Amino acid sequence: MADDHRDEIERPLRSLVDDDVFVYDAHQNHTQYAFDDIRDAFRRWRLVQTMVRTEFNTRYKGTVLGAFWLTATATLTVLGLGVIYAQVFQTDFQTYLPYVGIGLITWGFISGFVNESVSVYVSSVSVFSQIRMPLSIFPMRLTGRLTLTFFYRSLVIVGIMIFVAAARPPLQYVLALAGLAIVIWTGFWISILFGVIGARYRDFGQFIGAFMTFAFFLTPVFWDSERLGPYAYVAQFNPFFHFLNIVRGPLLGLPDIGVSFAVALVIALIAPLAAFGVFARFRHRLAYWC
Amino acid sequence: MALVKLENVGVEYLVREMHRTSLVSAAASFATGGDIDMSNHSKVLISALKDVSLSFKDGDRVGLIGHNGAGKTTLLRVLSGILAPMQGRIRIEGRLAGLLSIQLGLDQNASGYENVYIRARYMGCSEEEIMARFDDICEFSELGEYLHLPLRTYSSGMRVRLAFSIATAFEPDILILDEWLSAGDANFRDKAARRLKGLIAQSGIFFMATHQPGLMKQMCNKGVVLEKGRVTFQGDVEEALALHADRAAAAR
Repeated sequence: MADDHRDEIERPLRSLVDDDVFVYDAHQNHTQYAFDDIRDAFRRWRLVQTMVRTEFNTRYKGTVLGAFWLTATATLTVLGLGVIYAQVFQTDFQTYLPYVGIGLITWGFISGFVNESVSVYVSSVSVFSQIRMPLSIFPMRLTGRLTLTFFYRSLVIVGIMIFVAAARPPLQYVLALAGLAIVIWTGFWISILFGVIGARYRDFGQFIGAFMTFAFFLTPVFWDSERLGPYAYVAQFNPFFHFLNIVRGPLLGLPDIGVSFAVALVIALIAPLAAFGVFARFRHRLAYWC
Repeated sequence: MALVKLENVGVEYLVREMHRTSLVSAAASFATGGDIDMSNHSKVLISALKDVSLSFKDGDRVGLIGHNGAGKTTLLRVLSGILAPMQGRIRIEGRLAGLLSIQLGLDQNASGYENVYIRARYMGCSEEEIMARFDDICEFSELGEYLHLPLRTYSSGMRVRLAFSIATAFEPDILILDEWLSAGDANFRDKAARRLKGLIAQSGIFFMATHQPGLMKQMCNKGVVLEKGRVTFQGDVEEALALHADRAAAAR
């Protein structure tokens, strides 16, 4: 009882992670451990923030523009592709630039999740093999870094919306933000799922790398699926298209965003189930695999 | 109130896809340490810990004794909650600090002040805790004006001093050291040793793996002898060290 009292007084100075009792049984309760892991990672959002800032600091150290290099690079790419492909496709620059601009930047966000998720654990083994840490903190760090990267690049989207594209009803902007939220949510779970698979099967990471280059050309990022004529429906089978469309569609008033939201929402519900299942089953093996 | 309990804990490392040609060299490099099963040539199993059952309570200062590869570090990693064992159960009551790698997480481009926060967050300290200990950490490190500068401008000794000051600023119930922590020049080293001894004294349970018997006798009251992943003795530290020395001599 005396101990309880002492705990009361010291409560504000207790640490974030340890519930003071740590129990682990190699043969049961893995679902509970996985749940606790994710809860602890959320509780330590300050550490996630710190990790993301460290990564940014390291990358843009000593530059004048800092992380705004992301904005500058995105501006150049979008303008260059916009000018050239508007000519190639013989389309109006005014309508093509927003399409390719928002498309490219959003694609970068989506493919970033897929590409980098496979190495989420392999690349952070030096951290979690030295210090006790919830393992879902690393997918969270990736999600934070990609979202921050997207933020700097999305300034180009803001520019496009102000200067080039036609104004949309306010609801459309809200829809685009909701679409973005779905991308981030799904991306986080995909990072857990692919991170675990990538840690166990190193070929998986190589395969994903090869596949995503291909997927970029397969997805209507800089071309319009209408150009496929009678085969336009093929894009509908491409989940990447739907995730792209729930951000770009509302901003440009493209048709069919209802279908895309439906498909994306279904994936956004399945991804956490699959990811949590795999995480609960193999979380305790990650330290052995990496 | 601190408590550490391990029941039938086992850890096995699986070395996959090993080719026959590399088997000989692998066997040679592990010959001093764990138990290696090479019955299957494509999957080599190393039993780093086998059926380890230990129980410790407040006041226990435990020294882990054993050859290289006997399982000391694996056991420390299991105790720290870094490595989930493949068999058995663990129960740890009390706040635990595993100071296995005290420079981990430090940001070369952030200032000394910022690094206090960064490193303490890695250790799982709350913001209030860090704020409460902040001045003490800065003062103890004796880095003065340097704390304003980015870490990459520090000498390696200064870096260790900062890392040491942070790592030893938060008082755990259970403290785990792989080796004795030491930092800086002669002057600072004395001060650091006093601080570390203070930290050990306030902790409920203390674990250390070191190859210095003298230091272990001084700091520990209990000894655990590990041989090929098994606990072959646990009890008084003097007895454990004597036993280990005898066996080492016999083996030679």
